[in-house]
Amino acid sequence: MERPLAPGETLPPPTERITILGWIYRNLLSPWYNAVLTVLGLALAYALLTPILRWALTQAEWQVVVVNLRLFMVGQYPKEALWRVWLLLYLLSLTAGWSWGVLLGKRYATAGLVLLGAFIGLAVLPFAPALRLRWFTLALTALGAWALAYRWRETGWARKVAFALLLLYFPIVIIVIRGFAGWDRARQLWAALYLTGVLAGLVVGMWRPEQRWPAARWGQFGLFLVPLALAVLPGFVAWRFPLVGLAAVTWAAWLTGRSNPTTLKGFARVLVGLYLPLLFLLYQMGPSGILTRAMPQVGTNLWGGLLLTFLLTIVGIVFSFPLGILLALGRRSVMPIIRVFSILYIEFIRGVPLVTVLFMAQVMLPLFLPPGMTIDRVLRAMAGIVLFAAAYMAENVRGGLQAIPKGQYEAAYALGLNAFQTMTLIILPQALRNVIPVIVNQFIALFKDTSLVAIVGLFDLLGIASTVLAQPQFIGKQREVYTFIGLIYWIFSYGMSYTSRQIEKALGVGER
Amino acid sequence: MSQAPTTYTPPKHRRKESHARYDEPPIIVARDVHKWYGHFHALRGISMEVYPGEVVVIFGPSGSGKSTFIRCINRLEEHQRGTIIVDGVELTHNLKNIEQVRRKVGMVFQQFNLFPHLTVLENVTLGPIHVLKWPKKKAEEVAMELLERMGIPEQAHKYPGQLSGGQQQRVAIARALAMQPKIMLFDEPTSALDPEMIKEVLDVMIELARSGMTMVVVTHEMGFAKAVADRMFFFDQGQVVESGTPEEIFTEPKEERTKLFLSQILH
Repeated sequence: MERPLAPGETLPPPTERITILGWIYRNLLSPWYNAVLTVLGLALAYALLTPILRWALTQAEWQVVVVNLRLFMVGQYPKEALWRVWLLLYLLSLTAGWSWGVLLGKRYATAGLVLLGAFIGLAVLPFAPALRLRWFTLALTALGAWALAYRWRETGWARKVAFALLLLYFPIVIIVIRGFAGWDRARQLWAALYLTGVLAGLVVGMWRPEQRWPAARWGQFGLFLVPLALAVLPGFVAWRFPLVGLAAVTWAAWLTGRSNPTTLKGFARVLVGLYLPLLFLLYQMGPSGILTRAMPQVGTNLWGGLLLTFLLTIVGIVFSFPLGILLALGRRSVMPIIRVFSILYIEFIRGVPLVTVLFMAQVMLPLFLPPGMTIDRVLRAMAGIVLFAAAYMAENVRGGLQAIPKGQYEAAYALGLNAFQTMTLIILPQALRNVIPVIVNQFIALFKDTSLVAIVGLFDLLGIASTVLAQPQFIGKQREVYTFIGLIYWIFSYGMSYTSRQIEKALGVGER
Repeated sequence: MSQAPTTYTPPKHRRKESHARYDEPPIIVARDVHKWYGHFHALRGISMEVYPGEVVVIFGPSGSGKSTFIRCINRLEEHQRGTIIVDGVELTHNLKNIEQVRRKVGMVFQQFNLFPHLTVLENVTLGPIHVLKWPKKKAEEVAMELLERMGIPEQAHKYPGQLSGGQQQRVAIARALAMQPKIMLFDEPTSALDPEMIKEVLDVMIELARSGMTMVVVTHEMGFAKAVADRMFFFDQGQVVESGTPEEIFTEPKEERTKLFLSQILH
């Protein structure tokens, strides 16, 4: 069989015969000290797992979890408003299923099936029998959305729907959970004016009327000069601040419209189409409007359990991420004031434990506010978490920025890109991709660190656990309760970690 | 607009296929350019004029300031004394001027400096879309034409990391050309390449020179200089030691240092 290869001839790689016994022998039993370690490891696992499993399956009384399940999930959130949480869960199923079908298709099918299986398992197992139908329909919604989206994945509108769902989901969650306080007419009017100002500024800016009518060159400044002029008039003293704000917002929208009309075209079209529906919704936000009656405000003091943990985490992630990027850029800025401020901020926050920041947010924040203005406790906790996480995020992002070779900046500048374009198009995409593992690591830490708000008197998952343990009939059930919430923390932390690994792999395509 | 020196006499032995237009005002004017790195005096009074359509080769030992000088032409480095005027725009601290100059000047680097997170096509269309504000479709059509000219249209949807060094450098040339520059700067474009890939890059550069592009090339490829250069500048220790047509430089170099350097690199 040994013969020289002909030019250009290639051979297939040698195939290995892999049998189970062969694998076990090679990986677990040879050489001899591996066999010893294997035996020791198995013995250790047995010694640790059997008592836990014996306890969990035979001795533990899970009644404490089953009875208090609602408390663990949503805290004191009123029963009659619970349908909103379910609505959001269905919307989540829809969003996840749809965007999966459009953006991922059949990839990561295993992960998808595991998720679906988990929901169906919840429905089948005697865990919370009353909710069986809910779990089952949630799974069906996700599956149905996926199937439809997969069918239409090539169409442009399906992609747009996916991105809209992903972008809007978080704001919708906050609005629906919070509900509507019933705005008075004046507030509604101002909101309508601001909406109109933004839209008018954007459209006029994009349209550039002076190209058609030279007279409009200065006329369009009326958009923001009129409110500004009104603000100066003595009769409008009470509305001075909102008027100046209106002028500023309109002006910003006008500048945005002028700077990049081509990319904003689709966005502006959607906004114009939504103008009247938004006005209608705004009208219904009044004291007797449909929205206010359907979803009356639920005070944040009633938010609790896993719901509060999630809200704190999501707010922390969503706001600390951009803030952290800005701080990281600030720390590398050539402008000394910005650099010094960033360094001071980052080093100050990093030198202080999160608990301190949370306490500070509770007791110190009111000092910076005008008298009479109060921020509720949950919002203060959110602010504390965001400010804390941003400093760490900044250092992570800075690590990514430092790894980008100087040549990338030079190539971008030589092409004529300005500093902003260089950052957003060239540097940040590479820098952030390099630090995905670190960033996700921080998100996981943030998710778990939200449990510290229990110390400042909020009832997140951990805070609820202590109230449950104070119930007379469940005294001494620490094992069950802490095992349960530990499991919940683990499931979501592992989910994040798994997702980040997949993102890394997906983004690594075609990379050296 | 800068005042063109009226006393300039074109080089004696003009090559036939040269596109240099010596009757027009120079497109790059550098006068007494100085640059320091800390206390190190890197450029010590460089003066040079480059005419439209001209191909200029800059060579010299490492550390002689050749790269520093051409990086001053599009302000990747800042000169601290003297003037540089590119196509009538003087390089000062004025950001508008710098942006204007960078739009007219394309640059190719020794280390390619492609954007690794973008495909070849995205690398080439980035400038036209975001700087020239072209619609995506037009930018892609032009990019594909350029990639075809570079001989690598089939690589358009790959990432830079999947290409050989020679292919990457040709993408970098296409990326610079996509901005429709008036001037192309090459900073040792073949120094990081394996020997068998140098030729494919030099071939497209020769083709580019013959199409009439104004080029300033820092290189040690004397074959390239002989083939297409209109003039050559020998740099040493931050100064122009000698300049002239390739014939003058190769056959009758005046300065001892030029002779020595040429004998070292030509064996």
